[in-house]
Amino acid sequence: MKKSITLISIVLLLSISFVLAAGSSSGGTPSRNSDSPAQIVVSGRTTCEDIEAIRERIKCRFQYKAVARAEAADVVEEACRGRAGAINEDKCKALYERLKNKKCYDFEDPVAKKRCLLKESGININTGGTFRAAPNDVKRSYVVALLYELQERIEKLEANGEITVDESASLVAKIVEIKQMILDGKPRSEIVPKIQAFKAEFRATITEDEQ
Amino acid sequence: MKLLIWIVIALVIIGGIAWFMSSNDIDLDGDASDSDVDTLSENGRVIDTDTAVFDEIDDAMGEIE
Repeated sequence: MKKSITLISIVLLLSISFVLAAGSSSGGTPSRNSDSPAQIVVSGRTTCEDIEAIRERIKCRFQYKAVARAEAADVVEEACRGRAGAINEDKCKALYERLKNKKCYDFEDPVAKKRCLLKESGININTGGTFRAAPNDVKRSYVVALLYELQERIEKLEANGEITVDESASLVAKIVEIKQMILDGKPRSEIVPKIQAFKAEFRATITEDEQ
Repeated sequence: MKLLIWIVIALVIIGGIAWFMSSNDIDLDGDASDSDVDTLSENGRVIDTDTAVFDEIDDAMGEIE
């Protein structure tokens, strides 16, 4: 009798602890399957698109990753919005679509990644086309593609907790600004100082957080 | 006497290997200096680090008119 009571108690205790563990694992933390609108509402925000300031909009996407994922397919890439210069909004969107469809940023091998970035920027590698001989728009597209590579790296650092949301938002906002200048066909003399300032902030942020 | 012969043979072999390896190094260095790899080409700079990506951006910007 005593034995069966002990056995039943153990089974009951095990069952209770299992139920508690299963409940806490889904509490508050958005999982991969939590992109449904009902669960996004729980996070307190359903969209980042209603924020006017670009830096705050980017910060929102870092803070509410489920919202950013849910909106990603429908929103236009920040740098492309309203572009009417050398590389207009449609051309810019087409560039991002190519880079995304060919999964250039997923390549682990940096040589394969570079080949993909060059090719999707418009350099005809297969027929022996060189960067130097490429049209100006293609060269500008390649710089935009490289800047997006840096953006990907920043997003990974933030996701790994190596830099803060504020630091990531500040860096990505600067990348977007530089990309817009490149797409608009602004002269090199205006773009280069912006890149140097971004480089300094990037290095200061990474070094600071490494210490 | 036999030991001395073996030592001489060993020294000759080691010396030969050392000479062969050093001449190979010279050849490799020569190949590298002869090549004219455009850093912005697919076989040029490897964009595996943040610094390499920044350098690539700087070089690409230098080509923009």
